[in-house]
Amino acid sequence: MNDQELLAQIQNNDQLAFKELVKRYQKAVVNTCMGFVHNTDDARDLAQEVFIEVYQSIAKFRGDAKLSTWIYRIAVNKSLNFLRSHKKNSLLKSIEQFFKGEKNTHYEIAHNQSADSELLNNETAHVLNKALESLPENQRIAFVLSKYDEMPYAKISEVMDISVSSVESLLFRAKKNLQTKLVHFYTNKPKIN
Amino acid sequence: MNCNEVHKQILFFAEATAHENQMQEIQKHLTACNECNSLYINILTNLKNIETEKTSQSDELFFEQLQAKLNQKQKTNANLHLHSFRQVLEPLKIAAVIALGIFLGVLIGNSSEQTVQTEQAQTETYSLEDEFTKEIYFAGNDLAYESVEEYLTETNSQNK
Repeated sequence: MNDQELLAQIQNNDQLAFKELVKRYQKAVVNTCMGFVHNTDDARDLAQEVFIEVYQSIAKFRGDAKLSTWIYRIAVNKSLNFLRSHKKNSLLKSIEQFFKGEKNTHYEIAHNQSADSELLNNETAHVLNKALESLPENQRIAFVLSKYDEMPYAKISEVMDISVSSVESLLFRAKKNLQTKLVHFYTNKPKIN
Repeated sequence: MNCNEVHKQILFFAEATAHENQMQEIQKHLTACNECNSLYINILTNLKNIETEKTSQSDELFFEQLQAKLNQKQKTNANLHLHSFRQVLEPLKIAAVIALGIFLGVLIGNSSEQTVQTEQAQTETYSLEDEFTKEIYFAGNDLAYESVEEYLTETNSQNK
């Protein structure tokens, strides 16, 4: 059964078809979320939120994009929203800790400005994740879709709604930025660029 | 190739996407430079970390948990609808009570006004009738109409 047939059956309230859809996209959605949040439980919860959103709005899905593209877009948006709310919460927590006189253990208040210095304080296993977090949003999306979902450029361009050459350029810049940050971290010397 | 040039291509080398001739030159440099070689190993470890993060197996409980969450959400949504309906209904109830109060007030006001008007009308009719009978009664009896004392006081004061 292809995606179109599956879609038609789900729109007719076929629960088995929805189960099939979840089975088909579960791994991909979890991996996409994992690429942003780097935590198995959070990625799993987010993936479930993605499928809930799919279930609730599938009746309104007009089929302008492919079903898979639509699902990936929801996954990316949910993950980015999760990160934004997480950042807000951690900022509030940091302020609360500051006023309570506690030491800030995990997240920095000025997260974006101190991304480089933060890299130095984290374990090696988290270096790439931290470097990824400091990338501009569109570069990060392109990198995650490429590396975590092993998506071809054409598919990334569909999900991000940009041209293939823009995807190439975004990925190149993302890798360059990551390389700069990683080299800086491991050699502990000024940036190359 | 020096260390700086290698650093500018190290990630592309690690993922084997650099140009073929650059790959060979970097490879040559790495065998001679320990620092760059350890940097290469670290970056390669980081890239492999992505592979370990990725899910390779499908979770059997995933769909069941998803369904439980969906049911929970539907219940919450139904409760939310009920709550929002109640929220809309509450001011309507208050408005209805106020409108009823005003209506009853107007109704009571109107009925009492009517009573007063009827009483007034009755009184007016009575006094008119009374005056009329007085007129008839006093027509041939001036003394009964005007008391003697009053008449005398008035004439006395006129004479003075």
